[in-house]
Amino acid sequence: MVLVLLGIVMFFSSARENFYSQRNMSNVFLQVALLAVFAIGETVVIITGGIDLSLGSLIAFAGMILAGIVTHLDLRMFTLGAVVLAVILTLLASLSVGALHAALIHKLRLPAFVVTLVSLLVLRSQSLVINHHQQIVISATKYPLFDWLANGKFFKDTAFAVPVPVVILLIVAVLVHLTLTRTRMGRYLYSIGSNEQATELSGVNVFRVKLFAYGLSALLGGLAGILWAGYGGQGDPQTGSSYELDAVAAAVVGGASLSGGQGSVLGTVVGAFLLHAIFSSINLTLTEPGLWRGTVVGGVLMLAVLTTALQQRRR
Amino acid sequence: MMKRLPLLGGLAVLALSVSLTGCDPDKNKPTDTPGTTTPAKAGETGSTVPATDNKATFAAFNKPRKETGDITLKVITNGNSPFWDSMGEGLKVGVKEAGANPSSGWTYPQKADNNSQKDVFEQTMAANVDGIAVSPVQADAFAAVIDSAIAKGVPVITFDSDSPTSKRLAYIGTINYEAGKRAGEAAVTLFPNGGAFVAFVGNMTADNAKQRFQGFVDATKDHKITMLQAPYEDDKDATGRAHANVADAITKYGNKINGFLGLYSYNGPAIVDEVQKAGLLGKVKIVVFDGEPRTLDNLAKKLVDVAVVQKPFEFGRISARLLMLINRKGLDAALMELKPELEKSGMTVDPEKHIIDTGVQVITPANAPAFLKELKDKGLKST
Repeated sequence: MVLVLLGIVMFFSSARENFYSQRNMSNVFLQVALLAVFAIGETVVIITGGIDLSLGSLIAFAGMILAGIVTHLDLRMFTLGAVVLAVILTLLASLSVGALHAALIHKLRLPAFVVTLVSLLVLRSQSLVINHHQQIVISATKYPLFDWLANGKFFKDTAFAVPVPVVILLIVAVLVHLTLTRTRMGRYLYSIGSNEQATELSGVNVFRVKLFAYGLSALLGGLAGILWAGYGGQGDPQTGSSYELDAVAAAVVGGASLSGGQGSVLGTVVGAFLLHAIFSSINLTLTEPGLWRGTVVGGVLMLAVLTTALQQRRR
Repeated sequence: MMKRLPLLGGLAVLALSVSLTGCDPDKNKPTDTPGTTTPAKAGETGSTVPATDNKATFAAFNKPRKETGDITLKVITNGNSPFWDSMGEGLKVGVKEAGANPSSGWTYPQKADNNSQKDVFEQTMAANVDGIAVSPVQADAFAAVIDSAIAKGVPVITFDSDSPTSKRLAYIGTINYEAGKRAGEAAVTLFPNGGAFVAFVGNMTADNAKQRFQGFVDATKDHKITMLQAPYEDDKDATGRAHANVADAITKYGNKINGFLGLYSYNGPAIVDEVQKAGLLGKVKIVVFDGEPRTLDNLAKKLVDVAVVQKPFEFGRISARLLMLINRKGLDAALMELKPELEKSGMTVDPEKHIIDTGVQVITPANAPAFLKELKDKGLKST
């Protein structure tokens, strides 16, 4: 998988010094981070054999909630307090969406595909309702924290400048990786994905595990919503459309199986990097990138999936 | 066999998911959210001259349709976007000015495709309205729908995006080719000795994008202003790819870029963000279309050099006025009655082609304060 990634990136970019420029790599890593943060949540759900199609709409919804709350509260309290409260309330709202998903999927035995598809529609609609189609501007001057979260850099103006979302991604990735590989919850997640019935019969509280998976996915979707709102400088009810598919693609390219039981945080981050490296390579290499983008990205996806499938057969 | 299942299942879900994305209003939208398809003048790319001879149709509507009694009107947009809010505000004013039934309002298809819009249109017809203004998602495909309503004696006009092959009674909107030319002329003023531009857009398949771009290119080609490459397309991913494309262009061309051109409303804010991050503010010029909230904010901060904005407020206001007058006095009389008033406001009315060009405004830091005040006075947050 990594070899495929490297091969493709080199094919498009070996003669393009721009690709390896600090500016471009910084931008690619920023884009990767903004995608991988919620793709990791999607991966956890996929590992359990489920799917979360609501993430794109949740990103828009969370951004709108954040922007709406912070601008309203700011009139009544000091700015920092409004910011902190807005972030907490946004994450709680996102978490509750995930909890609702888990309850509907497990308690009522509804298909995850349908439940999260309903959320995709409802959350998009509610994003529009919040400010009657309009975006809510989050001024970078007034709320520098949001701007810094998405656009800021550690070690700014040095050769080692690292975008803040990359650091946030690292923290999220390490925590989720440790959970998946070192904890009982991690084993249960894989176990449910491989054989839910057997796992349940062995005494595992499957609902609690699904609550964790869908809750984490939604929580990270909410976090991504906050980051995207900071990145665009506004809550935008139209943003995030089809981002859930990018998340699924990153997970699948990273080796996750949509039948459940397989997938990893590292694989998903690599998958996200692959997607964005290709996007950037096309933009930097071709003079009419829009014409070929779909073909190249589709071809790469197929190649990556075939590589994973061939590896599985050899085993 | 079992080992193949994950792969096959994965591909199936991916394929299904991709098709589901097609259900998203933004994804299938062939036209820009803000301000949409408007063909150029006859003889240029596209034509606003009806292909069919509509003289008999127009003549039939020259008689008053409903001289007294209640008049209910309906406006149908091509989708849902902040751009249409300004149109909605104008419609409210127009309905009041015209004395139409206050329940006259606007609606939109849930999905921005021809069939969804046709459903909405047929529902509106079933409600026995006295006039419909529509911004067709697909100009040619929608012609039959419009013609069917006309045949039933219901006045139908188009706005923002025309359906020139239909029997629509009139078209109200911007000539996007002209709007592109105005942007190009502004670029020539910014770069009297020439310069290199990079353009950004949702999709170049959309007619309004093509017209705006062509207008810009035609206005600048004799002034040493060049485009470094074909416009970057973002498939209407207003936050992610719109920003990434600008960042990639800066990486690719660096200081070869003198100016940035944002063809869709959200391209403006994305350009400003990335130019700011790259430390290029003040070193390059930024020319954008449409006045979405962040562009208005950037205009106030003098971060945008030129914004070419449409007048969606007038789309709504004039639609209501025109449909009301068609009902009360007939088509020709309606156009002639509106002509002096609209031309006094800088618009043009062509009674032959039945086109009302609302025109565009070119906003620069010099006239931005007055323009923003005007919007504020009208209670508009975007235009």
